[in-house]
Amino acid sequence: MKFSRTVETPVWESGTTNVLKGERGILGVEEVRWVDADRVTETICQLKTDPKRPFPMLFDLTAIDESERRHRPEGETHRFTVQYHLFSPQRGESLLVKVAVPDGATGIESISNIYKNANYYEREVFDMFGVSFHGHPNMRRILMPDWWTGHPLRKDHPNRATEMPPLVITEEDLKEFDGWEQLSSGDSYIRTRNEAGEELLILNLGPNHPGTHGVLRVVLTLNGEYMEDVYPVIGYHHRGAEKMAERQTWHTYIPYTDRVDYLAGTYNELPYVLACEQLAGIRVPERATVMRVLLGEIYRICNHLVWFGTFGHDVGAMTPVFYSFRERENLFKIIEMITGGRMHPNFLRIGGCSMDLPPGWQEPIRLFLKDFDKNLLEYEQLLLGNPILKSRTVGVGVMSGDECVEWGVTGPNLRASGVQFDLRKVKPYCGYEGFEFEIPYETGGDCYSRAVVRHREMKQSARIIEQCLRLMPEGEVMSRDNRYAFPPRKAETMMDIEALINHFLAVGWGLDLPVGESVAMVEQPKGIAGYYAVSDGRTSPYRLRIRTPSFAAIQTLPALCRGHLLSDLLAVIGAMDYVLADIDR
Amino acid sequence: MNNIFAVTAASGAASAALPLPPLVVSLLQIVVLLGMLFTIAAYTVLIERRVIAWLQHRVGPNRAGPFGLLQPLADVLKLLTKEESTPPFTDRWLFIAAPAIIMVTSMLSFAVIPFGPEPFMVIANMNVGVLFFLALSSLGVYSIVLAGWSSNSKYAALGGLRATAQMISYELSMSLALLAVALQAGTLSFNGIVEAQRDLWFVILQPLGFIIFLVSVVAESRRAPFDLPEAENEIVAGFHTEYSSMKFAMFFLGEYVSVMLLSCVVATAYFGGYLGPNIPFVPSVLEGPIYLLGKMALLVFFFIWIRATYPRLRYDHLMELGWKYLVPLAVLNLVVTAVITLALPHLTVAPR
Amino acid sequence: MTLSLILYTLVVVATALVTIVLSALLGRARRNYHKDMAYESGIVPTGDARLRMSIPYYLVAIMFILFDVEILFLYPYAAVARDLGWLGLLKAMVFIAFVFAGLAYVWLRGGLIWRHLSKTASGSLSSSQN
Repeated sequence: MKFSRTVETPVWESGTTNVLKGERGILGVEEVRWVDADRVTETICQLKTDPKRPFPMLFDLTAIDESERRHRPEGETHRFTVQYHLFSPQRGESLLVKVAVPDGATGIESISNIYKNANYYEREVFDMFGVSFHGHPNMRRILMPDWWTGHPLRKDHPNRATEMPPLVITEEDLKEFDGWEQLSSGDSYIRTRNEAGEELLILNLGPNHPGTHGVLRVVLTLNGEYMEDVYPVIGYHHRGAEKMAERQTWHTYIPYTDRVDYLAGTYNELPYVLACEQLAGIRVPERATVMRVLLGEIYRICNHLVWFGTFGHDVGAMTPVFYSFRERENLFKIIEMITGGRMHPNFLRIGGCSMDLPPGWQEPIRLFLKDFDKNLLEYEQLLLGNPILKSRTVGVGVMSGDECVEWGVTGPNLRASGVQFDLRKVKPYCGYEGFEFEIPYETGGDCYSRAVVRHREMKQSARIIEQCLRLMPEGEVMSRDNRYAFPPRKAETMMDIEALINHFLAVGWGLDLPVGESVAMVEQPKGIAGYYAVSDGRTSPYRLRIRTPSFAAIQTLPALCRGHLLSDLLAVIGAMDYVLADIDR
Repeated sequence: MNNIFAVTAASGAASAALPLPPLVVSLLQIVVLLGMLFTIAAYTVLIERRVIAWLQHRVGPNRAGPFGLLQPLADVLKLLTKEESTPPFTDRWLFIAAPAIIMVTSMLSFAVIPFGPEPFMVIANMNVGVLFFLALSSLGVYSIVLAGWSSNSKYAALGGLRATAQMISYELSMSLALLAVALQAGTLSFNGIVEAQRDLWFVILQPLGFIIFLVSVVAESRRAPFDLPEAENEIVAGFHTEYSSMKFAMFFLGEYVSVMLLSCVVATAYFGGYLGPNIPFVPSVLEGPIYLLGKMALLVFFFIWIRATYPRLRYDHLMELGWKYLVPLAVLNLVVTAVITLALPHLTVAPR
Repeated sequence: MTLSLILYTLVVVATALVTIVLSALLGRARRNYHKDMAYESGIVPTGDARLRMSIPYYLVAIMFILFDVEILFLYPYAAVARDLGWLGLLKAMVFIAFVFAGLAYVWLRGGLIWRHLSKTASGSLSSSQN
């Protein structure tokens, strides 16, 4: 163990300087521990089951390529830092275990037998950094195609296509790619016969399939209509959002966050700007904070409306999607009025919001809220009360609360399994503690419970929006801290030379946030998202890690579906509420 | 009843009543019926799209011609000129035969549906019309089986299997329900069944049988909420995944003709078919078609309506509904109907 | 009429054939490597589509043949039920009872259960295979 230091909260007052001294606290987590590579499984096992302070959830597992870091302690030479973000939903407490790995080939012990969800995360680290995990059951690429050479998040991997030789794909290449995609029957994960010796049908559901909500590929091993095995293949939507951050300035990366969970709008920008503000030590004006809550909850309803329609469509009801999209359209009009955008608003800024609310903004929201309860009831009657829907979803895809925590599943899916956990209550951010709302939860843990929880959450979000209407404070929407808050006011640049310099630097050069690392976790519509930002004192992030709720959820698909009928897969997928962009990033 | 294609005496006599040679009468019948079928089927597609759009706060197709009235024409032209593909991995001749079979069987069944009391209002007034209809609907299953099998594609195979299991299961309850109708009417001819309802529609005498038949009919036509063989979220397009161009359109046409046919059969067996009160200023010969098509239109609307409302059933529920509920209930309905028919023979008009 | 029926059959079959031929003539055919591949969500299929189907499907087919043929026997009865009177009904009832006993037998033997969780389902949560 190299360092063990508890960071006092609030952290942003003092947290920016200690990195240079070599004492690396990380903003936004309660504790950081450096562990030697050979003791990692032991330590993590202890931490998970510690009787006094257990961390039952592996929230995130990622790595940092340290090779180009300028601000490093003397004598530190390791190439990679692998870090385990452990989390306790009961206490809302995070612990970051950091492990120095000299190089990729040496690798590190796998913890996939300690936390089930470590499986995908370790594959991702292997894929992105080339750090191999010993004892992992399926150490292969997960996001990049199998034929890819190099590991994209390494600093020596080209940032963009123009830095690479031109890509020429011939007809022969296409055939070769086809061959890569085929899972050979010799693969240990794909069986062509089951234990009883019955012949099994291997069926690719996706990536080009109307039922998978995007380019998700699920390799099914079918016995009749029964799924003996389910093997999700992801990565078809991978755009390298984390790599992009390393060549965007802190500020110009905000629109990219919109595209991660493209249904959650400002709720994607929120964790990113929160992480940056923590790094910079910015206090956001109250009005901007309430605006963030307002927009966030509007997007939460938007997300759940899309989920409602597609869930109905997945179980074969074609009408709900049109009803819910009509409602969503009304919300988009409100969003457009406030932000100018619809799905990708690009509205939040480091230090506040890009502009103030337009005059008369309350009226359309009030009109929407007036009808919304009635419409929710209509949806309930149309879909949730339907006996066919109930018969298809009750008792299908059951997962207990403990299992959800074990798999890192958060958000409505966790709450449907009887765990009344919501980050907005447990570890409030953006002043959520000042709002009155309930956390709906169900105990069934099946697809129907997940549907009911989301349906009831819409009502709670409407409650929060209504409070935002009443409580919206007056004042600034942008922090006055001109070093980091963006953009410095244009009007002031004409009066004040300092403001002009700041504006020139921030716009022409980019902000350079203080050296440090910071984590921001928020309760997105789909679950907890975590943005982990590393600043090396340059104008762009040294490393940006995006932990998304969908990635954790999709990993449970085999466990939820194995042994069920093919139709149940669609009910499970529909109730799970994922977005491929959120899985693959 | 020694010749199954025996024509009832009245039918022969009335055709003589028309001052035309039999061949001309036959050709006229065929031209009118086929023209009607194609037109109505094409417009049923349009009406379905418009009605569903209306139920879903949408506009629906309205660009081709006024109110989208030329949409069917545009669709046909488009489908005709699309690339026609018989993929190399398929079983070529069966692959081509499959869509032809469903089109032929569903259209052929219309031969026994009477559009009016006059003998020339039906192509073949068979005294085994009910059996003819059931036989053709059983043959229609072949189309799906062959399409699914010959495609040599996994989604098609799954869809074909689902369709087969579903259609043959619901055919049982369908024929049991129709059996009760035949028993009450005392004849297997559709004309006879309609005539037996001059006093009272069978829907009042056999409400249970009607519900069983209606559910079975929706399942038999593979439409929502029983559209498992074509459930696009699960198995893409099911048995017709590999079909394109006009061969796909023939499945489509077959489905819509089936919907019309089954609606006509429901109307004939339970709602008095072509019977209805006199309409003033309309020649009496047109009353039959107007009533039958009107009743058919309402039933087609019902088909569309439930499609827009319900989620899809799951395979195991579908099979259980068929075998554990509909078949036993249909048997019960048959027994009750037999007792009622014998105890109260005057409820229905006795067969001639 | 018999003449009408035969003519109608011929016309309908001819319509179907003409449609097939017409579309083959009108549509252009351009083939390529990927178009000549069976659709499986954009992935090259693994294994054969014509594999052995699971038992429940066969069971449905056999049950259908049995029951459908049995129901067919009832159709002649239906046509003449009035003439045969109560005694005929009694005889038909005996027949129906036999058919129904068959259904009950299949039912009791579990032939009508389509949702059986396969063996791999048990303990699925504990074994993470992927």
